[in-house]
Amino acid sequence: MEFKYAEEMVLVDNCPPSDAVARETEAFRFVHEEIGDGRNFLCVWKLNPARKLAEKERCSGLGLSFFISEECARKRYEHLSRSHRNIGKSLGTKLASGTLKNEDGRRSNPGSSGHFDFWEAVGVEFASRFVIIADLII
Amino acid sequence: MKELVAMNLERFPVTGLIHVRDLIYFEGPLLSQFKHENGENYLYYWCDCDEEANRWMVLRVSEATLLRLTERILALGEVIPCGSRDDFVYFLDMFSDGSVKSYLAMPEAIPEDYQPAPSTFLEPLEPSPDTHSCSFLLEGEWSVEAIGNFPKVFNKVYSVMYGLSGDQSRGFMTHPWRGGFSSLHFFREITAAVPRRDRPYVEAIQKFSPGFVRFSLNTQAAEQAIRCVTDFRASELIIEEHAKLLRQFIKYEGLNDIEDESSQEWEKVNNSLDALTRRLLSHFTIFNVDRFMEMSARKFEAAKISLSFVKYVRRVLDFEKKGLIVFPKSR
Repeated sequence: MEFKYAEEMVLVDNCPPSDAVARETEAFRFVHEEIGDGRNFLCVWKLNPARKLAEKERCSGLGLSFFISEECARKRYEHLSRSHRNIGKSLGTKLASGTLKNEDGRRSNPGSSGHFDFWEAVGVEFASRFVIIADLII
Repeated sequence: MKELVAMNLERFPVTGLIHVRDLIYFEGPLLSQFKHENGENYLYYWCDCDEEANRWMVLRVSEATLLRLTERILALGEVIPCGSRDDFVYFLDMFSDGSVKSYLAMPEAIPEDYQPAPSTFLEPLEPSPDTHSCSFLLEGEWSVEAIGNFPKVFNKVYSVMYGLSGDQSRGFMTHPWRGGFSSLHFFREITAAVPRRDRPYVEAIQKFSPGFVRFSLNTQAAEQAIRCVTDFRASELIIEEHAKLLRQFIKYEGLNDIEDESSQEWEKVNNSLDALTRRLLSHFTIFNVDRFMEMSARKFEAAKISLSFVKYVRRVLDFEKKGLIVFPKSR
């Protein structure tokens, strides 16, 4: 599989991790007001301005964050919006869902929070396949 | 972004900060720890952005405050911004072209939405593999004797865990394990077997409460040692019961009195010793029991070493029971 950010991935050890897998799954992601917003499915390294501090970035900075369930996504967002009240400006204020297909890329194993990183294959375009399902700002 | 009630600075006056770890991370850092070469700790707290820049609040914090934050004793709002060691904080607007605008602001002038909501704590952190140090929060009144004892007993637990996780193929040195000298020699050897660069030594200590002690050591072994202590705390009654049963078995079978290591008596008791030892050590969730049994020359020695190990884990935990130290909450 050829990855979208293959040039940058070679600069990071074990990226994507060897235990990342291709698996069809329903996924949930924080997005901005409009699903077509160019920031919605752009990895951290490619955002402009990028929210980064260290020279040595993590592999996850070349992936997209998803959750395995709406509940997990809401729980994480609630905590982030308490620790950072303007988090919506960076991550968006809506929750979108869609299906990740085997050929779309590889994902990390979901942690206990239900979060996983997803490294996209070349040519993948999620904006037309994801739909906004909820507001995250109460 | 909001107009800050702040003084413009020509440039950010703090140079030479090195990124230590991210304390909150979601698609990029949101709260990060930096260290100055003089040992001072700084926090970078993301608070705003627009299409041109990300805005960070930067504040200098004490090591004790940082520890209390990461151990979730202090809420984020108790540290940001009021945990600053200075009467002010910095704001940095970091633009996509790499340029930075710096400001200096008084805490009372910081907008409310630039501060964490009340009673919000960090989530439990994973140990950082990039660091070679580990700090403990100190509370209460520490006597000079206690200050000397804590590193000694912690080192014993740490060295066992270090030895079990290492690549060294040789086992533990054999001892008769009759009387107290074997334990003394065993721990002297196992602490000496830790390579010099990974041996714990005190890098910094602040005695007054809330204080801290920072060791330079192998963080993985330290994390495992701490896990043994928190496991002991979580299952203390059953561990003490299983240790008691093992001691009683050794006593009633008269095993301390058998001097001949090749005596046929051992064959009669080895299975029971093995089972009782494994049961005792099974309460330490990350303890590699199989490797430990392999490294022990005899089942009897494994039993005696495990009892000594439990004794020192108990002694480490005693510092917490006396209100002198705070170990992480069980994960």
